Amino acid sequence: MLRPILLLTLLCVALRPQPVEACGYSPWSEDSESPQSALRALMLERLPLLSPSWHSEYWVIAWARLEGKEFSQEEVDSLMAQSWLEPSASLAASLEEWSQTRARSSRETGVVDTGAVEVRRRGPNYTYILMCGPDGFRVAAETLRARRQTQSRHEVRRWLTAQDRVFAACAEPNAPEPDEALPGVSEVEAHDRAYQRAVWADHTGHAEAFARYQAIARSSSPWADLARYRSVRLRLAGSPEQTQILAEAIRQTSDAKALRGLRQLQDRYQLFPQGPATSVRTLSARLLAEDLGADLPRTLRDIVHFAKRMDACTTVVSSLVDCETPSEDQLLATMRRAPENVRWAGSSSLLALNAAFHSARASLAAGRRSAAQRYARRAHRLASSSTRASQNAAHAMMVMSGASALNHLLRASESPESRGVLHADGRAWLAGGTVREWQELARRSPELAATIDAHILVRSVLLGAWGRALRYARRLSNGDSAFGRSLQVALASPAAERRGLLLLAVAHHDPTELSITDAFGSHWGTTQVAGCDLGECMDAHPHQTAYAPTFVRSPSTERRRLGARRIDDLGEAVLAHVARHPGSSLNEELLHHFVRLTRRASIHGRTSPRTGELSHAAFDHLHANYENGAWAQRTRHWFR
Amino acid sequence: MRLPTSLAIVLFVVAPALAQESRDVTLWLWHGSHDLRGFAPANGEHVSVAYLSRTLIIEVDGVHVTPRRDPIFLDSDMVRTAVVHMEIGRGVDASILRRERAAILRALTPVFSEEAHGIQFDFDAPRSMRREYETLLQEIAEAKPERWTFSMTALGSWCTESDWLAATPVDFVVPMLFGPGHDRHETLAALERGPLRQPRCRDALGLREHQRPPAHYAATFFVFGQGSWNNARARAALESVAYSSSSRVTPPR
Repeated sequence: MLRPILLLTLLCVALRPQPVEACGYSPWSEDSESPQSALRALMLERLPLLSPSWHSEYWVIAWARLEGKEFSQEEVDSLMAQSWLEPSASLAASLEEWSQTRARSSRETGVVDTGAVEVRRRGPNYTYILMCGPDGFRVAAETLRARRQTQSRHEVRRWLTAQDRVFAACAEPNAPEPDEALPGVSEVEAHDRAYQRAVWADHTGHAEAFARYQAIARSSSPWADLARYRSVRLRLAGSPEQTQILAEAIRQTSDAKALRGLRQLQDRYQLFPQGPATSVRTLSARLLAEDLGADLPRTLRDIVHFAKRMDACTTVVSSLVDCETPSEDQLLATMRRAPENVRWAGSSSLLALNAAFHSARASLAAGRRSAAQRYARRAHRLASSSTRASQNAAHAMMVMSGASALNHLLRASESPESRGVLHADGRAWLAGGTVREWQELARRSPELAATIDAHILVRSVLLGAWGRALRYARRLSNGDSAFGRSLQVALASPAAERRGLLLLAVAHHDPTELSITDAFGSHWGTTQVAGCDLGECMDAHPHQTAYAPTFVRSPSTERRRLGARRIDDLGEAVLAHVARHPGSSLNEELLHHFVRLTRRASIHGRTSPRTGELSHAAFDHLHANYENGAWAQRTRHWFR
Repeated sequence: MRLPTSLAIVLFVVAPALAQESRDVTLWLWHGSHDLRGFAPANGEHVSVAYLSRTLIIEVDGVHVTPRRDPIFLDSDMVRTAVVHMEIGRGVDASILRRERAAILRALTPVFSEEAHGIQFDFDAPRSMRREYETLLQEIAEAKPERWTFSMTALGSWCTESDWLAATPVDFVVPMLFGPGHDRHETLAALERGPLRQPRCRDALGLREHQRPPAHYAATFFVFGQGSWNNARARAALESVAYSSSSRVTPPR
């Protein structure tokens, strides 16, 4: 009897499904000035937990990794060489490459003044839209170099004339159309011209653009794959009602594999309604062109996958606008009323999953943490019987909503490679954490304990929570560091001086790098978190996604009392202390060290408009009241 | 027709009160989307906008241009000024600014075809670059559409301590009274004592939203918002800068 049970057990163990690691929790320490190493790690090493505010290209690579793609060294090198991490430099470089290649190709034309090439189209309402990105100029330069090797001078000149018109259409919708290929020209020239005319039509918004691309996609043209990608992109960037158009576009390829991919695409597209326009515009065309040769459906999945990451608030149903968060029932009811949703959605559970995702994302965007966690957990349950992509997305949603953030962070910090480092998401999570959460994290991760204790001490000093400040000062005073010794002095001093000495210890030693970063140090995790930082939002860059909160937290009362920059909090605390204790012998030194910290903050761009005012006020107070003192003489400037 | 004496006396008494309601405000529309459609100024109010058209960053390797990406919604009759904000990157000196003047002008060419009535240049020029900046301003003045107004922003110290603005070809200067490093305190103190030393700085004043101008100061007030402008916030901004003056100076439009 035992033997069958044992055999059955062994069989179950052998056949049990391997756990699917959707996103590997591999934190790494990242030099703040080197995003390239983060990219290399992303391609070669274990996947980290990604920040939603990263460049969309990172998501391309992450998704490829999740799908099992192994990047060869050649691919890594080529992607690393592509400076799309710094898009403005990339555009300038690609323009320069195009200009130089063009100049070498034709005696009649000189070097194109790259400064005169306008790649943006004036959009509505004072906006400008990037029409021609770096890839377009690089592809043109590569093509021209290739044609020079194989074609006659006249053919090259005709190609160049047509290409000039294509690029003229970047900014000018009325730019002249490239001429049709002459009868009897070579097949290559005919294919090239057809593609140039299609791109011109795309740039100028000509109605025939899609048809031209499709004709190329069906032919034996070397541009077929790229034309197919651009045709899909054209449609996805257009009107919201994409499903039928997309189906037609893919059906025309007569590709059975693509048709299967379409059904999968509809699955995902339904889950993550609309919004791929932004992501499509920023995706690396080169990377996708390579993928297109292999797997169109997968590439289209990429597009949709990014869509769900890119838009903080999307909707496929026109009645849901402006990031309003309807109830899930309302959402389901509205979606069921839209016949196209029901027709190809296939099941009510899919609609429910869709609704849960949408509600979770809308709640995240609106900062409603409890609602986001509730919807994320629901999506996670519903996704368990859905595709892996849905499960991955639900998992990510759980993390983003904070439903399982602490566990993920701890797992990240327990990795033997981590050595106590955290990735960007962890840093962002911790920055908004409550002291209780910090204490829990310190208890479970001894490597982080010292740093977290320092943060708790600093926060307590800034908030005037002196009881807690003293407790943590005792804990940290055991060390042999200068900061520890300062704390020993403070603890050994009379009560009347203790607070001032703690404040001085914080200002003098800056144990948590107050002025450099506002979180757990620039050496922790990546620095790819762009966009909003503790309430201050930067303008979205074309190649960066709009900010979505990495973690939604219940608002910490303490955090609310603190300002956007801890350097400002320190300034307020110092000035308040000095005002309350005008006769204290610590005041000069306090004021000096604060002003010194504002210099560091200024250098590293970690100031707010208030910082300069505080620095100036401290400077003025120091010189007005302690004019002849040594500290005043050492404080010759204030900073903003 | 001669006014009756009593009526004239009434008008003489009432007129200053009427003048108190006059407001000349320009809203700076910076990053983000702004919607001021349907904004209806009250009697005596002149409201216009100065929108950020593009940002130029002068780096060692050239001029990096970032045009506006966020839409602005205005009524067609709203007077508007296109603002160009310029910064310099690390390592850029006067020689690089000189080298890139042509590229800067080229970057401004699309601005001149926008639907605007003027251009404003916003650049905190270091002292070492003032001469080059003056030359650039001269070239902009020559390149802009003839009927456009031309203004520039200024640090407070430019208006209180030095005379270098006297040679600039702008129609008026907007000293900024907000933000660190803009010599706000010194400028405010100077305003308390009387008109700013530099005459070109007396026609306008740059404020932050909710910041009240010095009492009895007559100028066009440029207001920098702390977010996206809408009609309600614009109305509140106008209330903040209400002033009284018996000799109001009207900058060119």
